[in-house]
Amino acid sequence: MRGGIFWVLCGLALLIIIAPAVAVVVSVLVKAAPALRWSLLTNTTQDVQNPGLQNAILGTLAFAIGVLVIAGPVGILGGVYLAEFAPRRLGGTLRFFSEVLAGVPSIVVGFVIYVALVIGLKWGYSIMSGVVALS
Amino acid sequence: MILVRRRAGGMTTGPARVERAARGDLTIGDRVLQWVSGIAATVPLAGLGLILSIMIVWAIPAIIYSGTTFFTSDKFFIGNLYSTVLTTHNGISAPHGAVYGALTFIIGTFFTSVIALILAVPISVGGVLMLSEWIPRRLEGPLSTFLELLAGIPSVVFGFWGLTVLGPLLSQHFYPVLSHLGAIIPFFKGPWAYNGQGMLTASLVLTLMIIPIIASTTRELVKRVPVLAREGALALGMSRYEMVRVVTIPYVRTGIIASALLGWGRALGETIAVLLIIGVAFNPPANIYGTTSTLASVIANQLDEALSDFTGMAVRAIAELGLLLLIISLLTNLAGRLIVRRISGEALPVGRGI
Repeated sequence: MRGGIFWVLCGLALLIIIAPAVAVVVSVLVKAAPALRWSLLTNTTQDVQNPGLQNAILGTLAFAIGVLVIAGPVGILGGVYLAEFAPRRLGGTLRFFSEVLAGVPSIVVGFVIYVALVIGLKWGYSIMSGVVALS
Repeated sequence: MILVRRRAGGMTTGPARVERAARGDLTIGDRVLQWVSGIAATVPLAGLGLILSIMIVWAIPAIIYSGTTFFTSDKFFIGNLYSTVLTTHNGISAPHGAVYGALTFIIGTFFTSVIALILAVPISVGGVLMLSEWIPRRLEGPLSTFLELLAGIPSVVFGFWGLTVLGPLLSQHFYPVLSHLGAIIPFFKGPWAYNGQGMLTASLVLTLMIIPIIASTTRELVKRVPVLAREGALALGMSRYEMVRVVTIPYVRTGIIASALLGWGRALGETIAVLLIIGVAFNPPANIYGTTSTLASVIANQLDEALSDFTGMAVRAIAELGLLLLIISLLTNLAGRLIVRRISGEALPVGRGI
């Protein structure tokens, strides 16, 4: 009997996990459906008659490539060192800190990069400062 | 050691090279790679140190200016930027009437993240137990895809969904029911915003965002429960529920605490989704549905305005908020990671609880 209640609750929990995952995707798609058309990809947001998202999409792509170029080699080389060369203790410590770094809130990282690059070096808002922050 | 290396270096045949490599005798290329990759491996550590030191350096003037007011005042006001009269505290000047109290944001951050954690832990554990102990193996793969789907949804999409779909839904159908609890606990009494913006909606969306973190760790641990202990429990005539209670849960308990700490760290630092849903207000929440702000959301919300402060103190105050957030989330992360490390070594407590 208690087992039955337990499994019903567990099933409910699984449902609470699955339902929102579906709901988020479906509701965003439904809300976006009327606006989905080809010109969304090809026009810029400044287009008066038929505004699109081309600049935002290209920006996102440029951003992603930039992140990949900077963070990719560092990440892979770091991984190679940890796997192949690092003494056991040192490797453990370094891995530990990279895990902790992954847990630092993005808003804090963003603030630091903002302060360091935008104010400190007067770079202005640029793709570069964003790239450094994300990597 | 040197003797061994020399002898190994003298041989040029294929197997010898393998032997040499295995002995740790490195060629020049290997050494270059070792150094370059070693430097790359220290980048996270250096980054962490850099972030922490920049935050501290930037926050110092605000720490001196605010003193203990930072923790005791729930008033955050960057001051009258049009007044030429400055307010001076402890020798540091800020715009007229500037008060940088963080209490509102500390309360907001604490409530949103703790409510999310209290809901997310049982849901994750229950869902994972259902998935790996009850549901047929065939369906486990497809169903766990939804968990990955939840993990892959960008935070801003969660925010948008919470604002436009979940919030209105809750405020119309769920909050009227929940407010009956207000008869027992006044904190649950209304009113709430018509579109659901506020602390509880933000907490519920945060719950969805940290479920994947807790659930994936729990799933890994449940998979590693020794088969012998499970079979032994079943052989003793236990039902599946009793097996889960006596074998699985005691085995994964520490891991759940650790993953809850990691999930908490995520909930503390979550910015854009919370900013969209919590209904930015600079006062502590009036009730559980109330609008307020968290440490992370106020940084994102105020940085732009803070930059127009000619004394530059507002940015310093925001740095102090960020420093507090950084320290809290570093502590939860450190604790979580340390526990994960301790239990994920070879020496797992086999069949604990039996």
